[in-house]
Amino acid sequence: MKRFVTNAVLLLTISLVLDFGIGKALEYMYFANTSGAPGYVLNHAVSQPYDAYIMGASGAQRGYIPSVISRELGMEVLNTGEAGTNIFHNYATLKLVLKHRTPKLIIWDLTDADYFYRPDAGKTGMITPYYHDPDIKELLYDLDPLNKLWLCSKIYPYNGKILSIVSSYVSKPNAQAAGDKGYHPIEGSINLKMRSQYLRQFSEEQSFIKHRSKDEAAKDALIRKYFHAFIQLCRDNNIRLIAFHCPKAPLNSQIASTPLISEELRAQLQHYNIPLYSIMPGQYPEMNNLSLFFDFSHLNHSGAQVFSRIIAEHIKSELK
Amino acid sequence: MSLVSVLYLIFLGMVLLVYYALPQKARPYLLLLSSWAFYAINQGYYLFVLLLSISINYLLCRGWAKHGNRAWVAVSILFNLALLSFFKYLPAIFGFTSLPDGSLLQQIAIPIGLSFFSFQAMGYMLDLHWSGKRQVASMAQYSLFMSFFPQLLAGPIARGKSFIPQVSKASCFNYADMVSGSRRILWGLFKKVVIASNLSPYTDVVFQNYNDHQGITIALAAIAYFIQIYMDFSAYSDIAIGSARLFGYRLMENFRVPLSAKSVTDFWRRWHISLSSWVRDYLFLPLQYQTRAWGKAGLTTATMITFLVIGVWHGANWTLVIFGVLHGIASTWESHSKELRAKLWQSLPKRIGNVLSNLIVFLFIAASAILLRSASIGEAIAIISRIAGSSPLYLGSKQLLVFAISGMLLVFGIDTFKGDIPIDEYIGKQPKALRWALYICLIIALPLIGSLSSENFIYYQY
Repeated sequence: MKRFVTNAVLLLTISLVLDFGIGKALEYMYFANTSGAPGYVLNHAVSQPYDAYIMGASGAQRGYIPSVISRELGMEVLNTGEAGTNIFHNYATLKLVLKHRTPKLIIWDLTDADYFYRPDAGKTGMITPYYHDPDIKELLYDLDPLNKLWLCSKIYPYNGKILSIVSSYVSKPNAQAAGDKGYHPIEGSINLKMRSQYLRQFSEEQSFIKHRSKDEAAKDALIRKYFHAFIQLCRDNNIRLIAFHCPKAPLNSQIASTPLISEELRAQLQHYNIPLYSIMPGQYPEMNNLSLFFDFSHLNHSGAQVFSRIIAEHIKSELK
Repeated sequence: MSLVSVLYLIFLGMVLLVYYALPQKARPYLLLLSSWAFYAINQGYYLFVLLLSISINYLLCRGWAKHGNRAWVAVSILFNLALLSFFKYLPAIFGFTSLPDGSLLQQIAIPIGLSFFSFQAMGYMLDLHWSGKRQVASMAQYSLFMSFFPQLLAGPIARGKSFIPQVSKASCFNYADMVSGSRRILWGLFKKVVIASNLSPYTDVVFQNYNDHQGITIALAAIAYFIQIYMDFSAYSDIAIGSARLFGYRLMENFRVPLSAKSVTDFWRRWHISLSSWVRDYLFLPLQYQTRAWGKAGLTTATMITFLVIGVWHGANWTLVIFGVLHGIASTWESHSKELRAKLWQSLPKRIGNVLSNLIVFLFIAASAILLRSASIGEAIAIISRIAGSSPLYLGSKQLLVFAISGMLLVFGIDTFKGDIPIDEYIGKQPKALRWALYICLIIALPLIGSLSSENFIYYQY
């Protein structure tokens, strides 16, 4: 038994030393990239001050143009949207930003996935490199208690990122990688051959909050904890919070006028006096045009321009 | 508690510590209690189904030993088939799953590992009957045979005659077993986390949205899915075999480099060996014997029934029936065309012949894997028919694909060199420096390029 234990300890020690070395190298290369390219937007957000931040998931990343909003409002805006994320990412971003500067405004692209657990929305890979920060560490432990164990590894925070970290460190990200201050335009129009699939997606999105399993309910509770914490953080720091809800491609009149946002979530926003604008094509004729959409849930660049102008007007009137 | 979860490794470590601290006589009881606890953690009160199966099967074995009447064997087989039917086949046939939410029948789930432990029970009874020895294992030994936790959820399907003698054998701490078991577990973790789990997002996206893809993308996804199942299931088997080895138990090998198969028949000698050898010994050979007077028709009948059972064993879906039938037809064709094929391969240079036969089998299995993936025959036909079309090649996350491919290069490279030797033995034969370098590479690869979020194994559903 002694021989086995000795060899096991030796193997573990060598692995930990290597893990430390590789992890440190990855950490150095990861934090050297402050371009704001997808996956690195947090590095940029904490390295440069902005007056306002756009927060959300892919809808924010592809629909909100900082330069359009900046022009209207006269303030510096950064889009921190990341595809596949939810309130956890927004909370972490705000926590990290607040360590350096208190922004005036947060433009919040809100979906039900910020209040109800969805398996396809909740990526936290962009947060884990910041595990040194006590607030982020607490969030990561909340997300998965096993992170207490995983984070003993210095490599784990960069899990699955080695190729992107090394290649962007070696080749240095080009100017376009960061998009327009975090906004990433997509070109092309919605493929109407996939209409039936989009209609199915619409009804699935309408019904996904109705049937919650025990597992999902437990995850909902965690999401809500951070939903409330995010709002509280804004209030404690006197940050103006304005919520928007991105439109879906108006394939029919029902979709054009039905915001995919639950009553429960609306009630929460009302409770906190947070203005919510659902930019429904049914009410905004300029959005009622399928050529402005890349797919069912995302605007293309032309759509983003129209949409950004609309929300800039709303923000302006709110700030008055 | 998945076998690739940290919780499992902690559970395994704890049981192992107590196991070697206990006197030898008490060890099987510890394993038994741990196995039941493991099952209860995984599926709560469904432990009752496992306990019911153990109790009734054991009583039937005792009944046979006492009276030596074939009726006991028949009742045992009927009981196990009834249990399988009740949980696995009747709900699908009568559409219980589509009943209103919350109704009792709708809530019935398939007990995890049901197909595995039911086949073990039937095998044990048939072995008893055929051996003619009226000697049944003790209740504790039999219970452990039926519920040993490393193999409980997805096999390998154990045989009483090889497992039960190991329970009574004194098992001391053995350095070679510990090293061998640890190697197997590490190898399994690597295959699951680095290859299967990194391929899974790609195959999921393509097959869930097959209407968006055609041609090369569908073909590539089918191949990727076949490799994913292979890596996923063989990884589970490696972890199960390795875990058992830590306690001094040897389980049956479940895979023997199936990608090197040169015929479909050869493939089934190398793939899920514990199931294919089970159906060979308890179904095919008796059937072949019974139908020997029919000549080729007898062989065809036995082969087709055997493969049909293999198909249906996977679940109650017509796609699985067709999967079995297709493999049955291929295998029948192979047995009837031995001479013709031998002539054909002889006309080609040996190496080209080997590569060609290898490739044909690989493509056939990959195509038939679409049936395992599809929810219905309609879906399977729709997916297969889209292979003929053309659309831009979709590769999903290239980063994940690169990770999976680099893992595959290592696994397939070692498979090529090691041949039929189990991986732990092969690694053991390498120089120490190379062995340690491999261990370290495998360990570092897990957090570096592994997909750590996916813990489910495909074969849990069977």
